[in-house]
Amino acid sequence: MIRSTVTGIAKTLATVNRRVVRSSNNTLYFGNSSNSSSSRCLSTISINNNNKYQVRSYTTETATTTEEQEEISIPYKFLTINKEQWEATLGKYKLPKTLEDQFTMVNKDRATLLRKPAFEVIQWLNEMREQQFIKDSESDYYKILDGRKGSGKSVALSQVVFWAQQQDWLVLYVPDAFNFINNGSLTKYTPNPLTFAQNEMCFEFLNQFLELNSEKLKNINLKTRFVIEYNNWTSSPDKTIYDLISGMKFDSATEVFYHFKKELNAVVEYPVLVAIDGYNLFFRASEYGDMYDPASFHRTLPVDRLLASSLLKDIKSHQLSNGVVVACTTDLLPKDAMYEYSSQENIVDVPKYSLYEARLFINYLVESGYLAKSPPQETIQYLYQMASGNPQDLWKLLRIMN
Amino acid sequence: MINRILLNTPSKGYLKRSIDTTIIGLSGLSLQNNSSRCISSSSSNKQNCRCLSCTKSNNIYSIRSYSTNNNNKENEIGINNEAFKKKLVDNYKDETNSRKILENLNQELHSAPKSYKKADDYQVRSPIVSPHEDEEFNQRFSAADYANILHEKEFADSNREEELLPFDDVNRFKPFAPLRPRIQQTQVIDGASSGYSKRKRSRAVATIKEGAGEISINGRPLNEYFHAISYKDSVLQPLVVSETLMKWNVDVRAWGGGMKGQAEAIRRALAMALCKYDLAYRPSLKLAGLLKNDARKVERKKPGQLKARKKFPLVKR
Repeated sequence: MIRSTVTGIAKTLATVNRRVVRSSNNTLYFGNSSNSSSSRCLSTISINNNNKYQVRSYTTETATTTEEQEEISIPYKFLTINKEQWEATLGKYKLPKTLEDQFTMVNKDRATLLRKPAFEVIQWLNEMREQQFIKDSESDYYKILDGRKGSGKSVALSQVVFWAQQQDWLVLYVPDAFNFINNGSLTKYTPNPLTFAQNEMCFEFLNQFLELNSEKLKNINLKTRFVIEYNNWTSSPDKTIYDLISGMKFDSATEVFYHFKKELNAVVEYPVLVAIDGYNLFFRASEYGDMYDPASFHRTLPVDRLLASSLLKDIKSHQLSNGVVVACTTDLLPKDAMYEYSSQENIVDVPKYSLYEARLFINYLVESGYLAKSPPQETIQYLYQMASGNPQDLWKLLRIMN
Repeated sequence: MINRILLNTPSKGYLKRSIDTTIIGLSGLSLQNNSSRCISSSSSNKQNCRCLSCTKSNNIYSIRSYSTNNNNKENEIGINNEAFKKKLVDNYKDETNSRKILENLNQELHSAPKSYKKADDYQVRSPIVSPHEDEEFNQRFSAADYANILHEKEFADSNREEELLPFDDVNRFKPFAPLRPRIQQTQVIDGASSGYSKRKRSRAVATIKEGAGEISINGRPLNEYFHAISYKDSVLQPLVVSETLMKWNVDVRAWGGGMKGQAEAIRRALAMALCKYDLAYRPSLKLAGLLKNDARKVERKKPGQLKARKKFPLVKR
């Protein structure tokens, strides 16, 4: 049932995309227009001359049978991606448990509901790109997606990242800040004895980054002068960032990351997006202790003293010449220190589901065949109140229902 | 002068008190004069200085006022009131003025008080009532009494009690009449009503208002306050029974006890609040048993036993 609708919508989408592309250049769409049938993207966003987004519904585009028309008349706002496509754009990483359950149990495709905060951030990114990333105030530097536990902050961020990848942005995506900070072992960093190197983490992270963006990185030449002391690797304008990362050894990983970040600041070829999931963890002590200080314990070493992660901490006045930062928070640890750091204007609130959105989600589950039949109005209201509109809790309840 | 006053005045408690106020005022004066030297007396530092003399004008607490009306400065009594200060100093210098005060005081003491209180006004209890205070002795016939007397004279045989009390003796007292049920009333203030309930050791107050279905318990949403599904369900039961899901904005304050006790206390409080909002919800809620008070508490521990029911293990010899 769902497949028929998806194909139907994909057909309509193909036509929509073509039309939109022809009509104006200021268009945004999820997925490539030429390959839309395979990517199964269900939503487009078009931007007017006034820079305001509009969500399109696919009711009037193609003539179909009456049954299909009724199904299509529901305004879909789901972003569906294959697992392979997800890993090709966002990278291989461990998803949160409830989200992974939803992806595996419901359907093989990964469908997420597109909501207002994601559109808000995308609109801002577009504005910044038109502005050529000239930063006048603090609000031009970064945005933080914030909300209650399970409200869909990291889902919104992943949608933004996916959009940016489709739009040929160079995206440095940190899918889990906890792993980014606390993964691997620490080693001494000789140039600066107060900081510690994270070779294990940097090696993995940069290699994955290289896999995702290898084609883009081959086009970006190096712009700064530096020498990597471990293997005397010198930079030159002929070399690219691809050469820098591919020539990386395990023990020189942090050094490479340090210079890679400086290169990232100077990138002009592509618009740059740094996306961090779990940004408030940067303001708490890491899991490590200072190994040279016998008085210190575990979980006392601040993130500023970890070389790699301290580079991404400063988003208020970062030096990305052609880019911006989008971050989202987690509820693992409190956020008070982050709120003091960031201004209120830059925080985008991710609200709970409205009843309509909850109904959309349940409809999706019904059409994908996960639920046997659509529940009546009263049970939807009951479930909504039980979860108090929280998307994660709503899914937890629906998981039991089946 | 103060010493003179004290010497001349008779030893009366209330008079002493009145003089003490002046003493306090004068002693305060001398203290103020001594401590009014400021180290940072230059004009530039004076604004930032926080010593007593610099902040005197701005300090509210230095002025002792007995009236709430601040505009009326004549009534102010205190060291900082300059009019009052002048009065005190002038009185101290001028002997005639001080004599006048003394004369006034003496007059108040020796002259007869303006109104005497009669001895009879004091309530003195005695075993035998004096005749002029006896209620029965002084009681006069009222109009009704005269009417009774006239009636008895004219209709000597009539049974007056029966005429006044027309009902039978059978109807007068009904020992086995059923208890009247409590009259239920709605109580809606500004579109909101509230209910209160207890369960085990926990209590809860729930207030409801028409809205979009937001439930907050102690400032947190329902899903964050209760994690178990059964507790969330028990809170929502009255809304399900009354078929009013998504119609109320519920604000709950719960305290004491554990999670289950609180959940069930909230359930009944919410049901009570619904009944207070509209009586039409009452029958369905009553049928569902949500208005029932569960009065069970923790059973007490007994002496000679481990717990309320548990016994010590039997040991032979």
